[in-house]
Amino acid sequence: MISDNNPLCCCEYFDLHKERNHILACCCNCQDFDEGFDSFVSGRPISRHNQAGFMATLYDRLRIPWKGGARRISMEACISIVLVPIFLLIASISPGWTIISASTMILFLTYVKCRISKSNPRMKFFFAWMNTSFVVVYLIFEFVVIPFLQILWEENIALSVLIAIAYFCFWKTKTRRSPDGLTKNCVYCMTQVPSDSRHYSWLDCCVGQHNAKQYTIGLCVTIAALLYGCNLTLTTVCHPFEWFAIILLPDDCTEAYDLFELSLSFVSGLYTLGIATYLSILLIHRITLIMFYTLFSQSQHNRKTQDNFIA
Amino acid sequence: MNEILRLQTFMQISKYIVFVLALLYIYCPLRHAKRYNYIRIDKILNEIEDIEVMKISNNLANVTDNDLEKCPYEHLVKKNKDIPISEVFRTQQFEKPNLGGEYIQKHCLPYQKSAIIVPYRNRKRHLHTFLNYMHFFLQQQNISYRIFIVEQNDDYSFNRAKLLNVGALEALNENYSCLIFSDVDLLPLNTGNIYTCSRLPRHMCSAIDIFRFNLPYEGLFGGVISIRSDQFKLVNGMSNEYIGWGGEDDDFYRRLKHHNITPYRFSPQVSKYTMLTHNKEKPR
Repeated sequence: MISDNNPLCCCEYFDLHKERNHILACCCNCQDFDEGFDSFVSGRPISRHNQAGFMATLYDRLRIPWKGGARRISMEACISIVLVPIFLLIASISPGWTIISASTMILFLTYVKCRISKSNPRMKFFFAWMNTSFVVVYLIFEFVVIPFLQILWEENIALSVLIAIAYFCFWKTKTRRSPDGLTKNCVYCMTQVPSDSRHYSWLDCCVGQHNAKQYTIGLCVTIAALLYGCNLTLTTVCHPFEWFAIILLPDDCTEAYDLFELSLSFVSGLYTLGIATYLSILLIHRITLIMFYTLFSQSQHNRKTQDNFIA
Repeated sequence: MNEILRLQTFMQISKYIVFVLALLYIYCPLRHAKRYNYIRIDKILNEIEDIEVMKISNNLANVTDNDLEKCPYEHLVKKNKDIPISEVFRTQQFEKPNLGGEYIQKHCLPYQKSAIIVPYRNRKRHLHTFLNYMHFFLQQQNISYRIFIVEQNDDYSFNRAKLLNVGALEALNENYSCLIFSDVDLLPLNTGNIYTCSRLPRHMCSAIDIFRFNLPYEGLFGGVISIRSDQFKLVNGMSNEYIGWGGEDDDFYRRLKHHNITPYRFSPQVSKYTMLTHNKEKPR
């Protein structure tokens, strides 16, 4: 019933039934919810039809204000945007809560990896989670750590340059080119990719021979940026010392939970370190893959030239 | 149609403006630690052994023994070296000072007599560390000094400036030519940081470890500072009005600036300090 041609305001959108709707009305008028609640109260089982309808409405109403009409955002992005800050805020209460929060997060991510990713391969949960984490950690760095007035302008610029290089590398990695040679179908990307590719859900991208270089460089730079940011944060929060007059390292973090800003920065520093560790494991895996690949392809190359020679 | 086009261009331009503003805010120099002007290592000696400093100092200092050679400071500055932080907490060997925390250099004639004035209340552990380390540190520097601990013995808000004024008056009565105001939790980490006065008032702790050895802002003039007695008298001391934490140092900086004796700093190499941690003992 798209009858009126008036442009949408930033909070309006056309919903599932092609009707004009408003973000503020997100909690109103959900027929499936009403029916489901009716059944629940009267002790009858909630029908499948209502469940599916409710989920569809929920997905449809997850929107953010946007120029020319509200935009839908994915469920996984929504979950990440809510959960990452909550985990960090809970962790910043005390050292005990940090441990509880960190272990809960690890368990949660493992659970998601084991259950949901398998059942719904198109869900880009880890990509959304990683992106949100990067953004949140960077925002904490710029708006909580920097105002402590302990980081030099040059250091902030250097970090930004590293981030820009990493972003550029991953952008190059993700640029799709029509694959030549043997291809296979990637269930996650839903396209044809070179047959030697491997899917990385944190980057939501397949990496094969064609983009391995960009990916590896990007990974190295990202790890460098994370470690540098982590070092800047932790040396600001903690008591630092000059390690052989080369680099500042933190050595005493006993006052890290004295102030909310300090503990939030400290926890975000630890989280950055965690992500860096995870990516380092990926990098090591990558390097071993490359080493095996070069060995393997060398022997194959030798055999091929032999074959050619015989032919 | 024209209207929509105009709206779109407007949105585009405003997007860029927001982006540029965000960049300007993020990289605003005011949000960062400062690079600052300082006296280079090879120029430090000129500032300490300045004729003016010596003239005033010698008038004020009660020097009786004129047979002694003038104390050398060159090697201290030129061959400065960092002190590992573990030294701060070690029990040090030093010559027992006279009653009242006074130490008189016997081997040579120092240019000045330094009064180290420390405002204090309820930080026993810090005071113990401070005295143990400072006597050891200062006795290697060819200076005569006395450490004045000025304790606020009541339950009112801490008034650092007033305590410093009291200490300074006491030191002026005893003809000390150089006043060094020091917090009890700041300890120098370089042998080249000489505890005497220079031509101009000096901010001595520009590289504190908990600030990542950086300077938070240019006008910072707290922690450890040195000022000649005549200059202190010229600006009429510090303001007694600042009750509680902070503010008095910024006021003092403005007073000095007003009298055209804007403080300066020596090279960060010799201005390294460590700040003792505050857990366990909190000031009331």
